Amino acid sequence: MALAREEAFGRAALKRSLTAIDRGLAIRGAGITAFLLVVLLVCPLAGNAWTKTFTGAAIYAVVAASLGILYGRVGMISLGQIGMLVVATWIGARLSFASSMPFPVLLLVTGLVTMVVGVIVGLPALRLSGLYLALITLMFAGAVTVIINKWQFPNGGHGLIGHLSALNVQDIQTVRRPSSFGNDDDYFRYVVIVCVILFAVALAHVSGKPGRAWKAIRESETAALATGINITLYKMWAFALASFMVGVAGCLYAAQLAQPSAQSFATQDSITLLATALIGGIYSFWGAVVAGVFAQVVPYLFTAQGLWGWTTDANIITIIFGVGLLQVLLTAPGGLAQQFPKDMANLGRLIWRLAGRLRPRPA
Amino acid sequence: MHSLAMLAFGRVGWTDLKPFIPLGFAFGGIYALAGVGMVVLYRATGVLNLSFGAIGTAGALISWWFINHTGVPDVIAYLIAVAFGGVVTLLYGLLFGPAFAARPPLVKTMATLGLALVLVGLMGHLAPPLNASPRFLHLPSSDWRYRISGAIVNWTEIIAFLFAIVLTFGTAAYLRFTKLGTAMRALANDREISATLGVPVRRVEAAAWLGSGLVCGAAGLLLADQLNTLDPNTLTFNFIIAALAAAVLGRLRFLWATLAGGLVIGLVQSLLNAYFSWPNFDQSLSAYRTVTPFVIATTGLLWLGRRRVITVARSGN
Amino acid sequence: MRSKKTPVGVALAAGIVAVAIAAFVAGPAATSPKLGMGTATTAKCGLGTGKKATGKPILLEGIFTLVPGIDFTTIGKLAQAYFNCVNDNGGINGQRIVYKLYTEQLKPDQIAALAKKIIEQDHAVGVVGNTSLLDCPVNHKYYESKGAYLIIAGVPGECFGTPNIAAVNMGPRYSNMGAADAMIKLGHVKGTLVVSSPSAGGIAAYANGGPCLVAKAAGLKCISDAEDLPLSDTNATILKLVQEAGDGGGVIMDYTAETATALLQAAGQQGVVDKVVWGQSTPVANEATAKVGSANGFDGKIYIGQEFNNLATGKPDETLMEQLSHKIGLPAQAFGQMGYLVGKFVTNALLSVKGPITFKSYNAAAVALKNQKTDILCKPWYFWKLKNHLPNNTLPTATYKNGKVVINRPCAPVPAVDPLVLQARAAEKKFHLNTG
Repeated sequence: MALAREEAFGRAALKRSLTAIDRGLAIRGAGITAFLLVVLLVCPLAGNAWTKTFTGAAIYAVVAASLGILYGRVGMISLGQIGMLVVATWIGARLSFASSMPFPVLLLVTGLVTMVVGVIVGLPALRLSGLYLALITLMFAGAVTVIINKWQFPNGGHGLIGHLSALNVQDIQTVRRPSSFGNDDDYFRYVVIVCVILFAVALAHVSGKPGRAWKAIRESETAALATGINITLYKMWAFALASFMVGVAGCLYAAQLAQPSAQSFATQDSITLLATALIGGIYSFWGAVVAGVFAQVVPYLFTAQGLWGWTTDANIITIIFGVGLLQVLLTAPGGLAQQFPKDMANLGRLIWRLAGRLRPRPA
Repeated sequence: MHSLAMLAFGRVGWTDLKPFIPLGFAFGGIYALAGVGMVVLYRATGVLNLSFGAIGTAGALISWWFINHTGVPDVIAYLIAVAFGGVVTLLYGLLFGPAFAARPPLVKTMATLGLALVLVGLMGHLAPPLNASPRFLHLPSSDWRYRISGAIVNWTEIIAFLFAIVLTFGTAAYLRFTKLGTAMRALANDREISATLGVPVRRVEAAAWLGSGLVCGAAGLLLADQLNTLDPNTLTFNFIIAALAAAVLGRLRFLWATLAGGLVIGLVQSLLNAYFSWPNFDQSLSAYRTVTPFVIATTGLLWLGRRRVITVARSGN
Repeated sequence: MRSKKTPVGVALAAGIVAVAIAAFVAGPAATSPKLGMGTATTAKCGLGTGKKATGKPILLEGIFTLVPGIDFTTIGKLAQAYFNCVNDNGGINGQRIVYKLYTEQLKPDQIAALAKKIIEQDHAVGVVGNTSLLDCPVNHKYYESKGAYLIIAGVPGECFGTPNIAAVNMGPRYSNMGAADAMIKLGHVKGTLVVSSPSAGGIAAYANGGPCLVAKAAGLKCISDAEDLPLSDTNATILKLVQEAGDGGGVIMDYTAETATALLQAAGQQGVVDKVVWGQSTPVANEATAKVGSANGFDGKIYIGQEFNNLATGKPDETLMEQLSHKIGLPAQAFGQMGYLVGKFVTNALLSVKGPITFKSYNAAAVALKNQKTDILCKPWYFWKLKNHLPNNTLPTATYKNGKVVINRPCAPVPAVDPLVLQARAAEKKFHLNTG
């Protein structure tokens, strides 16, 4: 009898919690949909240069999200994600010239190849502490810069390297885009959709079994090992997922740039990515979106476009990122994505209280 | 015998390799210097200071300004660079050290990246490229040259090499035999217990910050002279990667291993210059020589970590 | 009681009145000609009337690379100074020129967007003066589709190999060829010629290929070397280059002043200056580098392929260029010469337009330019409707002497071993493009 009552109680509680989840999910889902609608419909109206900047921001957000998976979820830092982006862009460009596979297949293949490269790079440091991984990936970023300056990006030539010099200017080709999404506005929308899919894949991982294993590893590796979690496997899985995401993003980037150039990537960019990813918020996917905006839109706004005619040079932006990184690590490890809603909530409460004081008291 | 030697060196002759050896030791000395400075700081405070390249460069730029825009004697300008390195590093340690004291080493290290970005941005803004007349720092010791069996050695290279050895030896002895040094080692083991035992934690940490900062300033001067440039981007990031590789080879603990690692990296990278036609002119080893730190560090890590099973993270330090 | 201050006050007031009267009486300063009015030794800007232009503005825009370590805006600033001088001297038949500089940060998608913005949004009359590492490769097809004819300062090879772009300089490939030619004919290089360029942008294959053609035509071996910038070991690099060349061989360094000066110093330090014959491309032909070169023993031992005539010759265009540089606070340098020439030729094109100045009429005038004489170049400049453009293909060679740059071989043609050079010479002959 008591058992039946408990069961009934339990079922009612479960039903309540499910409806609660449903409501929370519904609100969040509505928010995301609204945001996406705005992005897809309104952003391209700002002009061609803005469209290109927003496309870059979307791609960058995916790379920031990959860093979020590695550091935010598992506690492994990679200072070479931009190095992986360079590798992915190269692979995407090479494959696009070497084959005529449809663009979505190209994205997938680039992602898979980059995934293999990423796992190989992370392998030496997987068994050592997080600091070693950071150092190895930083050196990897430096190594990639050296190699890409030697090889340059493919532009329609033959052989493994596939780079034609300026002497053959008439034979130089641009990386192709998906058919019927050739122009910048359409391609922007295509990129945003692919990025959303990547975010969804990452989210599925995080809320599933890998996510739970990663959480355990981040808390305590010894405890995780004791509960039978295969640490090396799950760390490699995180690396694989992060590299896959960067791989797809790289292929998108190759088509976005149309003529990728080694000069567009500097070793410092990997560190700037870390700064913006942390400032945006390493523990949430919204943080990755903020990081994309910070790293692409803000510099464009203040250096090329100008805010009401006022421009500054890129060095000031670098200083701001440095200060922002220190501030985030010191006071708000969750970054803007975590801090902003808190600040808004505090502001809301403050306003409510002030409004309460202004309301006429009952006599 | 001669053909064996040729085979061993990959068809590049001894006379071709010889001139690159003093250069290799000089650069290796500078990498080792910076590496040792980083390792000592890491052992005492748990912070891997990734901004030391930026600090060293800023010191060298300030030195240049004093030499070219004021009447200050050159020696004073060099001392200013070293002092700048010490002061900035110390200030950072005093301001941010306590705030990050309880955080994992990874977070402490990332914070130094923030300092690096700020410094790089400042230098780029205040010292933009001068197209027509670039900036140079030329140490007087570079003018005193000797020809040692076919290779030219100048005193700056000798100083860099000797300084690295003396620093390693001196620091190792200091850590072992002096009170402050022992305190630093205690701190490296466990900060909380050391504090309980009465070790003046803050003061010891400050000493570590200051010491590594002074080394940083000196390394910046030496490197600016050896690379013949004062471009912030060159000095900051390329320098850091080789020095980090040396520190990694020393497992962020062992000073002599860091010294050896730095020297090996410098030597190999320099010797690879001679392999400009191997395997062929288009894709030669010398074209990829700056990848050396990464390759050596990764191989070293793989070798050194082959018996490890899991990592046990330490809190606080 | 009369205060002591009163006599002082009276004196002060008297002084002010005196100055005011003097200014009124003196009238507008007209004793010395204004900048750009043209004297015996200085050229004039545009019409050279000395009267400020206030008419309808003509909008010109350009794209320049500006990233940490590379600043090409100097060229744009000189062009801007020239246009301001033109505006102070009657403008373009009363109309004034408004020149806007855009900077780019080496992102191909942004550079493509910039070109679109300039032509389709800002409705500029002309795209002018571009000096960018990526503008030519990324945008040349777009410019062709829009019928824009650009007068620029070129760096990558695409700036010389396309129909709609003509550069006032010749770029690293051809200045290297000039240096190689002088090294072989005057310096008597034996055995091997080594050409070293930056690896950035894949430009090394292009920049080194030219001098290698010259070397091969002279029966020498040629090694093409590409170095990553920034150089991590100048001393070792210099040793390597000298080793590659062998004793009596030649080494051409194709770098901007920053790296080249470091290499010169390294060569001095390592004591290898006398082992090979040295060559360089244009960026080191200035006094600051000359001082370093002379201090390290390069006097007479280096052959610099100088795309333009010497600085400080005292000739009209050169003098005006230096006055304009001085006015905007920049030292006289090759970048300044490039900016000046862009300004001059664009102005000539604008002045030659009959009727209203529009995008169509300006660009038609630009492409029709020929026989543009100037003392900064060896031969007159031209644009013309051609498949590719190398209007500047004759150059002097210079060397260092006592901290100064001196010409050691006057204007000589780039050896005709390169396809673009051959095509340019054929076109010049056929259409009388630079007969003066």
